[in-house]
Amino acid sequence: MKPGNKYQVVVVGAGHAGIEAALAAARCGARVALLTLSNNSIGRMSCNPSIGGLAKGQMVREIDVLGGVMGLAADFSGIQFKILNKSKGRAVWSPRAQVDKRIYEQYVKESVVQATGIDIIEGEAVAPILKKGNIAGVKTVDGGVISANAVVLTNGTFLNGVIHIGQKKIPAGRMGETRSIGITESLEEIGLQHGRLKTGTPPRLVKNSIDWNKLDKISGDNNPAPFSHFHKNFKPPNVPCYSITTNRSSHDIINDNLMLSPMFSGDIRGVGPRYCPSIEDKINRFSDKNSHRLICEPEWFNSDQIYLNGFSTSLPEDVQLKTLQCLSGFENIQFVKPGYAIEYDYIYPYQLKLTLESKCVPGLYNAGQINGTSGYEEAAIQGLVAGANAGLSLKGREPLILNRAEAYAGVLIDDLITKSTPEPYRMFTSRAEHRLVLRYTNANRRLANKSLECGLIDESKYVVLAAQISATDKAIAECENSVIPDQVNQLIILSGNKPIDQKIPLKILLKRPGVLLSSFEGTTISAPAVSKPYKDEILLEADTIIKYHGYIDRSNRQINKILKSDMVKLYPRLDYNLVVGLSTESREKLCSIKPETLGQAMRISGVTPADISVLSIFIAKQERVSRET
Amino acid sequence: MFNVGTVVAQSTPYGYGGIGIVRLTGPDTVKILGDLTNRSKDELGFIKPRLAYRWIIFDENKEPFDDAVLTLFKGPKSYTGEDVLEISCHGSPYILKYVVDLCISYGASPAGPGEFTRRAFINGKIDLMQAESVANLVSASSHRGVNLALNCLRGKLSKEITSMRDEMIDVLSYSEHLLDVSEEDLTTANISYIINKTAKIHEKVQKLIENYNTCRIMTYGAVVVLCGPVNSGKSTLFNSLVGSERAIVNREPGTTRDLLEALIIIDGVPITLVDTAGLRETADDVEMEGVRRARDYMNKADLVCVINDITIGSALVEVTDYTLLKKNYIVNIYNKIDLIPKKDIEEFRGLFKPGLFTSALTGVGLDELKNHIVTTLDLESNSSENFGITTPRQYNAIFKSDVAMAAVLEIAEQPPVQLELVSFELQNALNSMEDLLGTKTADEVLNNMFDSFCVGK
Repeated sequence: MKPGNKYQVVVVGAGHAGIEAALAAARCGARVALLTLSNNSIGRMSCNPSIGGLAKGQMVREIDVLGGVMGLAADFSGIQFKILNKSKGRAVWSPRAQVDKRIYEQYVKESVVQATGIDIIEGEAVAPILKKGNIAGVKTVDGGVISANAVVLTNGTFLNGVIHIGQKKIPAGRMGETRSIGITESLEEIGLQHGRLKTGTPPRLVKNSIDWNKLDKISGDNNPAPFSHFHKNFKPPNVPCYSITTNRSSHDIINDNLMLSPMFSGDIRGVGPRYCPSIEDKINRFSDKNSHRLICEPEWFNSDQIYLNGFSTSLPEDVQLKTLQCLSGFENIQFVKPGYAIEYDYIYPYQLKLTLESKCVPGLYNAGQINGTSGYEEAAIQGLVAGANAGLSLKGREPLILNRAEAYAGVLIDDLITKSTPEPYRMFTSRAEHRLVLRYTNANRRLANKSLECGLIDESKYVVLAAQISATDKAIAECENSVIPDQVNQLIILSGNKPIDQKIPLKILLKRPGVLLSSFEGTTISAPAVSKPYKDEILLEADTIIKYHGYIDRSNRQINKILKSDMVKLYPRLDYNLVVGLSTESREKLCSIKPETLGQAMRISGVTPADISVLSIFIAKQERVSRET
Repeated sequence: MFNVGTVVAQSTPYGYGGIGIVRLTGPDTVKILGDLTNRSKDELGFIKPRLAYRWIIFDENKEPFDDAVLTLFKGPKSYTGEDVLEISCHGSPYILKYVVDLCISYGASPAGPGEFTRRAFINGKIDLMQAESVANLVSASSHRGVNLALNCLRGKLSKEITSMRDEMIDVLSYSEHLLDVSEEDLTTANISYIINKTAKIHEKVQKLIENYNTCRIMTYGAVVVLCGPVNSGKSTLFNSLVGSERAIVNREPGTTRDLLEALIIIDGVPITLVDTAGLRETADDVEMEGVRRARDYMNKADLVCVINDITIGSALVEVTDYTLLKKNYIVNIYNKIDLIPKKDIEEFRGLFKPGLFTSALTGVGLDELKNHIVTTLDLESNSSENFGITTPRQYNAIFKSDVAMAAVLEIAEQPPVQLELVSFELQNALNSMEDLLGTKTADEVLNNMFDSFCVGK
């Protein structure tokens, strides 16, 4: 390491958040130091061997349009691709991929190495350095100093991390990797508040100890869709996963040993995620369920190590083994590593601005699990936003702020600040009140311009995105073309609809469920002029815009209303004690969160519509007074 | 509860009375109580809430001023949620004004209109509908109206809407769970669960909508408009119904140029009776304005009585305006039957549109008319629920929710089901109910989703 070096941005941590942060800051023209505990753990996938999934897949698409690496890496290392939620309406369709963890890590590391303006430094930060209240760099464990104008903290689960396996406690950031100490304490010193969370990971199984014939095979889509928008060709493998279900006797073993789990014995204070509960939690809370589905996922291509999705646990290793041995196919099961729970510190994210910069320490940015989120995708998009804003602010440029109606990333960051969720935050489509307009197929349209303006993508990438958007528009325009009964009736009948008796514009016909635009490619409409992997998707998106027209319009009307309240700025120095008529709860929340806009204030839990009326009257009055004086 | 100052107001109407009440609320209530009664902090420390004290109120020179009864309600167990003091003084307007001024001199400020109720709402003592019902209760014009408002204030309506909202949250969480967590494909069982639950709530919503008319009329009164050609006897009829000589009656056509209103009660139903200018083309500006207003009123009316002069007989002209109105809101009245031979009446019955035959002058047929008005208003007098929505704001919100639920049922019955659209409409229905309650529950759906269903891997 090169102590005393002067950088513009230091990124602490090289996980999914840190990497996107470093790359984004560098794309915005900053000189970046990426500080990692170990050169070998850059871009590590610490938990599941997959990228994307419900709501997360949409975020990977957003990362890709914003020039990030996650989508490209997942496409490059993917071994099975699938669009989830196919039976439930296309606004919630989400891409997901099983990936080869090793290739993924290699690809990501290589991207950082190749990027201009990033130095990778092996070392451990112990505290941020402040000069006159502004960030000035970080102190390292060996007493060195890395100076910088901005610091992005992406420490993941390493802040005072403690691993729990049964009664065993191991101080660590990940299994076998040292944790970092000192950062939480030094942040506390500069006035930031923190809490503690818990997350878990399932055991890794020895491949040859599984009787695969007794498991059910799950394959990916035959017609895979990539995450990234920038491929010419896309031909990934389709490696299957296998499912197995738990049974009563395995549940009995867990119930008998419940008190050995630190979750139940009280050893773990941190709050775990309800949506990704440990197996002991699931069995305890939903005792009426006779079985739970588990999925065996290869950690890499031809992996001898199998990730057991759905069996996150902190029970003692022997109990984990005994439980799994009850399952047909797992009679002789062996572990590479047992499952474990990890507790770590996080910094309450309400202390951040929408740029992810700290409200009280200019130049300090936090992203990823340090903000209380869970998941690779959630971390990556925060890293990207934080890194971009660190870079943009140094150049004196407008920040990258995404609103709730243009990106899941906007929902994520706004929620972190206003909701103060007491458990690890994972994205869901239902968190996005405008999800009908946040589709994986329109991330290009939503974000391409902003991305270009911020310098996150170059002209060549923008041209690709613009071509996809205009191909969609062209397809929609061609749906004004009419179709005649003879030409389409056979198809309509097959789709379960009533035949037509006279010629009608295609767009009218498409309103019928089951009649798909793709069936008219090459006849009524021309093939989209984009590279091959995206042709189907362009038609799908055009079809969606036509079919959902009324709903999209209604959503947009709601959005416009809400964006108006997001335009009303609340100044950080506003003294809520002077606002007559607020309830005590809102007053306290508003004082501590200090929302940046009226819209944000509205979304704080406990702040009622009545409080918002009171507040808006107060602001209007103040503005009038300041205009008149 | 929070520091927004103490306010004071006279609660009983202005004018002389046996007693009058001054009410105070806010953080300085107890201090001002001490100032008014010349009592030390220590003495005030022993005062028991909700107990009436007969104490002397002292004037600005600390001389005895009035013998009053004071009751202190400590927040949050009070109407506003803050400390409340009720001072019953002797009912001279001078005394009451003086006591209010004293309170102001001790640091209170005059309360704005509805301030006590507003504070109760902000402090979470009552919800928006309960706040509205306070106004309804104060202005209620019938026994049933009082009943409705009281039940609403006591939270019966809020409870019903809240339980509907909770059921709504359940369905929505179920749907969101299917969208966001479940890895299984959608089944017909999933869909019928949503349909059944939504239909059940929808039924309740429709019931509220059906009862809206009755509840509104019981609270505010029904608007019954008398209209018709000039000189058909509208004002005479108006006077007979009101039972006093209020409208000026004159034989010259076009006498009633403006509107006359009176509140009457028929069978316990409050009715605002409106007499209008006779409808005819006229060059007189004032009369024209009267005709315009008459037409406006007919649009707002719950019931329009079209009064015709039976003596004009076969020459009876149907005024086109009436035909614009919906049939069931119209009663045709053939007036002045005292001026024609009895035997001709039966003959007329066959000739005219169905209607009532009256003589406003002699009172013949008026009881029948009154009965007819009440029946035509179609009040659900037998409705078992003694609560319902009463204001246009409430109606608007519940109506939106009704429309959204109808959409849910329509989308859910159309395969392949677009579940996210079902959720979209469920969310809209839920939002409207929350508008109705004046609350928001943004996080409840997610919380419910996590807590009630086994989720995730």
